[in-house]
Amino acid sequence: MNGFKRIAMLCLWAMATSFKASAAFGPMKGMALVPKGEFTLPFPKDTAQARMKVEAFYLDKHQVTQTGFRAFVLANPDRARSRMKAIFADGTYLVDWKDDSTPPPRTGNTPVTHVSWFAAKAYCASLGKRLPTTAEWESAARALPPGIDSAGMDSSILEWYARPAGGRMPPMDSGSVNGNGIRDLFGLVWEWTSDFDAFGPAGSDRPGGADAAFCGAGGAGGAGTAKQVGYAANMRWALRMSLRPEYSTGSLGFRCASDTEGKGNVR
Amino acid sequence: MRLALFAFWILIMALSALSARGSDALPPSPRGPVPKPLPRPPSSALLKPLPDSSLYQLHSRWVTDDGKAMTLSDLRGQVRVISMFFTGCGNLCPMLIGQLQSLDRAMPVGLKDKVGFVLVTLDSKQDTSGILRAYRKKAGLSADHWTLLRGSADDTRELSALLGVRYTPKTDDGQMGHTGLIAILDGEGRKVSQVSAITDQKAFLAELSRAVSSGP
Repeated sequence: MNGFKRIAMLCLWAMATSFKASAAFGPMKGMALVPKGEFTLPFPKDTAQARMKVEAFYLDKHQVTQTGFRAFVLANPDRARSRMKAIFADGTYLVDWKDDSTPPPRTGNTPVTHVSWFAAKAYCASLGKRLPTTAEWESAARALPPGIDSAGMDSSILEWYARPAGGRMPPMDSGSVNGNGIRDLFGLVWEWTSDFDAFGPAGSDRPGGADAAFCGAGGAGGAGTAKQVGYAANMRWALRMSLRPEYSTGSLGFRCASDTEGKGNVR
Repeated sequence: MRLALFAFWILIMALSALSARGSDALPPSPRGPVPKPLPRPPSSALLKPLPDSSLYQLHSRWVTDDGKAMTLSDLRGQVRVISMFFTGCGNLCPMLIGQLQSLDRAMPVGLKDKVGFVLVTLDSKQDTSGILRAYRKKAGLSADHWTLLRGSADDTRELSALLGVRYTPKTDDGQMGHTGLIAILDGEGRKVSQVSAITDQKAFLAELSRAVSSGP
């Protein structure tokens, strides 16, 4: 009997271990804690007026993939390409999908792009999460990968920014893991933030499509600072300014954030 | 014995579930919970579907200053003059709201009955229903003609994106930069006109009359 008991205990231990292992795939395991900090907005130049606290929050370790977005579209058919309203996405929304529910072949594990801000926001909400604010995203991105200083990081980011778009999208996890345990913040696609449009010009009608906006971003990025450190961040601000929420371009993806690790929180 | 067999069976089930997961051809994404259907605005068989360009297609929920929950589609059926503001705003908002009040006074009776004003706060954290109620009282905004709304931070950002209002996050000193916007929505929630401020009241009144007479 003792032997059976021992086997039973062993089995129970194995069960506990396997449940622990399965928790590795569990709900919020894919999120990393970003500790609280302070963020200084690049505008106005008087930084005394532009400081803001960033509370601790959780950010997805990975960008949302084509497969993940497909699950969202299946659960919310009014967000499928053929049914998406024009005010929520431009004509390039999921333009690379074969049909309403089929991402391009062999791209399941790559970041979804051609998604508008409205669609990205809705995706996160459908999981009880939200998009990160720009201050949160930038705070998360500040934690450098081990062994890399900020100048080194900036030059590798700038090298990526300078690379022409096109070619095959690398799968997620191709980029480095940063100090917060977050992957691919740089190297695959640009990312939507909840308040990407906070600092743009007042005018709502700007000529040029999304591609023109990206070209503009490069030029405008140079206006910020002569120093190379911070230059990449300025380019991101310039890019965000050039975006409009309905843009669904091929270079822009997203990941979700949450105030709590467990349940998420839509603010 | 029975306990051992039961535990062994559970172990086999757990391991097979795990290995099934491992051998799945699809990548392990979405990581975690599966996306859920989002709430949709209540639809009535009596109402026509909203036009594609209607802002009232937003699914978000809002609360009035008297604590009543609503969706934007509840604003349907009447021409609305809409603006975004916050009660702690020192310069731009009082000016814009002053212009709207002046417009309210200048509207002929026939037009007044067919137009409602909607003010949506940009500072949903600070501007609770109670604070909005106090603001209404202080500014003298009539209950039948003015709707004051508060939503979540994300939903406020979404509405502002559609309207074309830009605003910065609040900095530690309580400042929040934003652009001014006054828009006219027709009865179906389509933006038919917008200005950054009412500099020509007559022209704006003419726009309003046009929106009212063209009907939904």
